Amino acid sequence: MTDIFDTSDVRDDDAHWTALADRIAANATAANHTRTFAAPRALWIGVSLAFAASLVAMIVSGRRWAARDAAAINIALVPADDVGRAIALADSPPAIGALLLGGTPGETP
Amino acid sequence: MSDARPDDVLLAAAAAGDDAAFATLVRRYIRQATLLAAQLVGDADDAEDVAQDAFTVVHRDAARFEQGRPFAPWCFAIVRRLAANRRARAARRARLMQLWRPAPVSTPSHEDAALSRVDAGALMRVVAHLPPMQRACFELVVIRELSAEEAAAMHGIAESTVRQHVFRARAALKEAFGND
Repeated sequence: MTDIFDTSDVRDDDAHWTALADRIAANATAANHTRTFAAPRALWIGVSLAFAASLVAMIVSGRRWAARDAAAINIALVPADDVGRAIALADSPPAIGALLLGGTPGETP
Repeated sequence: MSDARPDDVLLAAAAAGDDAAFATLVRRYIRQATLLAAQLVGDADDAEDVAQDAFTVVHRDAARFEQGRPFAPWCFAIVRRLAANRRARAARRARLMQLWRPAPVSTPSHEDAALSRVDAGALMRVVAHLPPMQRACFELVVIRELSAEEAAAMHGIAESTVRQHVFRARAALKEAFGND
């Protein structure tokens, strides 16, 4: 059995109860209204995070596409002659001998 | 002007955003809720805090309250639960403090502490030594002039039990003060 305390230190007049009730009602409604607005705030945070994530994904994939497009453009713009192709397409500079003898890159003279 | 609408109607209105209806409901039950909390936590300020928390819970859960059910027992059950939580917290804190503090020579009991705060009239001294529920019911019904029904709802017990407690408390007082 829990202790039961006496309540003689509790004020017991109508004015006190009315004031206390009004204060408590105002605090309770304010607290719960704040909570009501807090829920959409959580939603807003979630939406913002999702937006940021999709933005990052778009930027990353955009870069990848840009790199692919640049490679395709480079191939399209390669000169038709052997020397031009050797310079444009080889990963490393072609041998001078190959250039002078007019062979295609990779070809043994 | 007082609002005569039933409790559950006021609560439904409060759930729909009618703050005035909620204030009416709080005014209707603030006295009982605070007195109940004071009986359970033993301090007027703590009791007001418990009442505040209880009505915040009432307002928050108003939409979930089933219309047609009695409001008072639900509200007082919240008060009792919050008061019990507060007491448990206070007990934990006290235990923790005792680890750091040297043991006092003699610690006054809750009752002694409470008695020292009140006007130590002979009646209150005798009342203070009644069994807890007898004291609670006597205080609410005889001293605070609440109905047995209200006291029963506050403590979550049957109205007949409240009457029995009050009867026994009166008998104990009669015995202490003679036949008056």
